[in-house]
Amino acid sequence: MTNRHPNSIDENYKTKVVAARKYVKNLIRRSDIYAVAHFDLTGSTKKMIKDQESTITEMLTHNKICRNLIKANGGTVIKELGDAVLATYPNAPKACQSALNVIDNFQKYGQGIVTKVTITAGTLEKVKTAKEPDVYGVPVNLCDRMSKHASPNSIVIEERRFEDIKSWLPKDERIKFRRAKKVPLNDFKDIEIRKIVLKC
Amino acid sequence: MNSSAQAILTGYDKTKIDESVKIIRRYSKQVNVEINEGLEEIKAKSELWGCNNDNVEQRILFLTGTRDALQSILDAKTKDGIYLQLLLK
Repeated sequence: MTNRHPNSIDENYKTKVVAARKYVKNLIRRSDIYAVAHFDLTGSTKKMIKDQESTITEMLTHNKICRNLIKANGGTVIKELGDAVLATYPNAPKACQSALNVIDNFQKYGQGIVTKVTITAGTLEKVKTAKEPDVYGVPVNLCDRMSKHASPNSIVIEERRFEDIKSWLPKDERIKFRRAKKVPLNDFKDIEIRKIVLKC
Repeated sequence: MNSSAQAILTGYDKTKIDESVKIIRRYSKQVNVEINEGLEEIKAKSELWGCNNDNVEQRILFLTGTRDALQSILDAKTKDGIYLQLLLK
């Protein structure tokens, strides 16, 4: 037994580090291409500071409603990220149609819960680290960055993906498009995004 | 009135893309969409995020039908992980 000082930081864990690298090397990984949608509860941080308990209830309700509606609209829920839900769809028009449906249902039955959505598409790597596979990839990071530009009851989508969906959006006069604009997204530099709003 | 569209299937597994093409072909018949210029394999660089263009495979179908019929192609249950772009011409 070593006489280690209780505050020592120089304990040698080389075997644990090596084991972690070996674990990662042996993981089963698969790349596939999806449309990715990120549903985010609006204003949760501000609400949380004021009233943590009721905001957590609201977050859980938001996420559960999103889960139910995503599944009903042909999407697959990948994971929850606190006050947000990440889902995949086979194509961007389906993702957009589903997102509009989710926003519409929050407007009708959400009792004040409001969501905002970000959509992008690209390669996701599915990695099975626990019971359910987790996903990693540029589209996930991009969705997170783009979500900062989303506003309540709206979808933020890359302009390039908007070109894919514009012919196939539902015909509904409540759907309004904002002009495309370039926004700085840190490592992604300037990305042209478009906002689609569903008016109440 | 008929419209035309390009269906671009992108993915990493050629078999899954080929199976998805078969699914779209079958589905097209059901919804009265004509695949009028056969099938092409394209070697375009995919502009989708995170795509490893050395490994990514793409195939393109040229479709003709009413707008509603073309739109319904988006509902075809293509193989998981194969991304479908449907571009109206």
